[in-house]
Amino acid sequence: MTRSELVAEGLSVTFPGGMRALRDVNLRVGEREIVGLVGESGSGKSTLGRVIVGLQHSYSGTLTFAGEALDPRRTTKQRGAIQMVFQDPYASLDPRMTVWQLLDELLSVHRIGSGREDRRHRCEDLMRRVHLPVAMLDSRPVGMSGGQRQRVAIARALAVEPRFLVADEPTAALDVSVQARIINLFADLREEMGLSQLFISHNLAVVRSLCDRVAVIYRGEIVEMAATDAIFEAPQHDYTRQLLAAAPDLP
Amino acid sequence: MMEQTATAAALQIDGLCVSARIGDRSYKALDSVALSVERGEARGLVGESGSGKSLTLRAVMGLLPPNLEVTGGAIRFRGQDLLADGGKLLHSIRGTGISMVFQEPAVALNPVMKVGQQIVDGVAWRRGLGRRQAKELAAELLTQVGIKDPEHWANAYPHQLSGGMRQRVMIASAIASQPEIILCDEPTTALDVTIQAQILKLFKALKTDLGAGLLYVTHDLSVVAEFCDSLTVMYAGRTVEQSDDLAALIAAPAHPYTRALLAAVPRIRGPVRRLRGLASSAPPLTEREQTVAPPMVPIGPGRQVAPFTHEDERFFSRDDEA
Repeated sequence: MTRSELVAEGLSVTFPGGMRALRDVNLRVGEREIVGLVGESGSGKSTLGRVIVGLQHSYSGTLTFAGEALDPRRTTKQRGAIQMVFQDPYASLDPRMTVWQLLDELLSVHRIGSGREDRRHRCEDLMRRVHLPVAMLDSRPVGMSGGQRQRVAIARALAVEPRFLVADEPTAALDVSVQARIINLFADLREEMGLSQLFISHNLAVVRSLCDRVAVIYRGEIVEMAATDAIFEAPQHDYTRQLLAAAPDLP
Repeated sequence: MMEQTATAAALQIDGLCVSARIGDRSYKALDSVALSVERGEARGLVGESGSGKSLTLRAVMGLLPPNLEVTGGAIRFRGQDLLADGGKLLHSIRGTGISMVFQEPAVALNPVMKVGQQIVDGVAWRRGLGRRQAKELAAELLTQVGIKDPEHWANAYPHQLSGGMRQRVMIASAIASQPEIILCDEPTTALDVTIQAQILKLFKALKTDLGAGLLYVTHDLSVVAEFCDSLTVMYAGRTVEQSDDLAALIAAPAHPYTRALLAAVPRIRGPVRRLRGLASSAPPLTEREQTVAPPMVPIGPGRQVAPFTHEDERFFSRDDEA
């Protein structure tokens, strides 16, 4: 096993009103590892993603990243290290800004790059990394396809040079044909940049084609966690078996 | 004439062309679309966004947006052309002989009308049912789509239901008139995988119980592979391949576009391999060929494919080669 990049221990989240979204969750993601997190709507998978990325401040338990404890209130550097890609690329990008403005804003806030020209170069590199034409830097999300928008969202997540990516259902709003290329992009980011990832999805086939290990979450608890092959070949928990039986597949 | 009607498919679409007016020019949105659905048959209609699959359903229902119009071909229901008499026949068939299940039940259902009432609204009026009879029918339909305690839920409003239950309600409303054809526009896309499996099972049962024909639109081949008998593939407003035997088409796709679509589908079983994405989605309307699509040619029993001249690789994405 590789060294642990992210360790979550005893994470619990209770929402106002008493709804327990997470119960004593333990999760470890190694360096250069992609872990899938699967479960149904309301299982707590997005809440776990939000805790890890620092958007959900109120929780109990501990989070350690690269050997360093993470407080609910993070430093700019800590925030930059763990980035998130959201589900809906139609909602997550400001339609009034060009791609260049969307990316440059982040570089400026995180004080990355020396001067405008250097930042422009960095943005061009980001576009190449996500397989978008560099010329698209000067266009706005309006008129782009869902796949192109999601690539822009991924470029935004990469802009601050993170070590860890949380992707929350990043292909759920996309066609299967477009989804394939986005999955390949996540695989390439691990190969090329060594980026560790938590990949949240309700689509088991997608998780199988991308992830090294899979955690199954049900009603806020991780009920099974194993290597991807083991989950698909020999599921142990009833809920995992139910999910597998429900998943559609080609003959 | 009578004989022809008796042997005609429940729904037959023949050379259907739909044009979109953009500015002062007209572009082909659907070009020579051809497919048929028998009673008791579930046909999958697959393609990417912009392939024209949902538009085909809308054309059948007479629900085209104002800037689109049918410019050629025929839509036959039990052998009768629905477009021939200026839409009168279509009007009488819509909702009774042919009904539709939409993708977003939260949008399609009336939020201020009780569930039971909206399921039977149309059919109660047509059949002249009294209030009590209508209530009984609503409860019966809710039971048929797998909702327990139907009397209770008939009095609920759509917002009180989960997404899966709302979709069941919409299906109940689609089958209320015992249609021969049910058009389904991605009805499970917004649902969880476990709920999706339940709804697919329900469609399978309805196909058998009602003897209805289903035309099921989706971008996800693995969904139609779960329960459809036959398959039609669309690309850029045209039907490019079809088979009366879905499994045969998936086992040996003939058209390069079908092969590309299949290579993009992640699998639950079998060896894990890198997926291959498609090069790009269909070109926008204004950039498509404006020539007439050549008709599909038979390549086996119940099997047709559109002529293709382009090399296979055109449809595959370059940056996925690894």
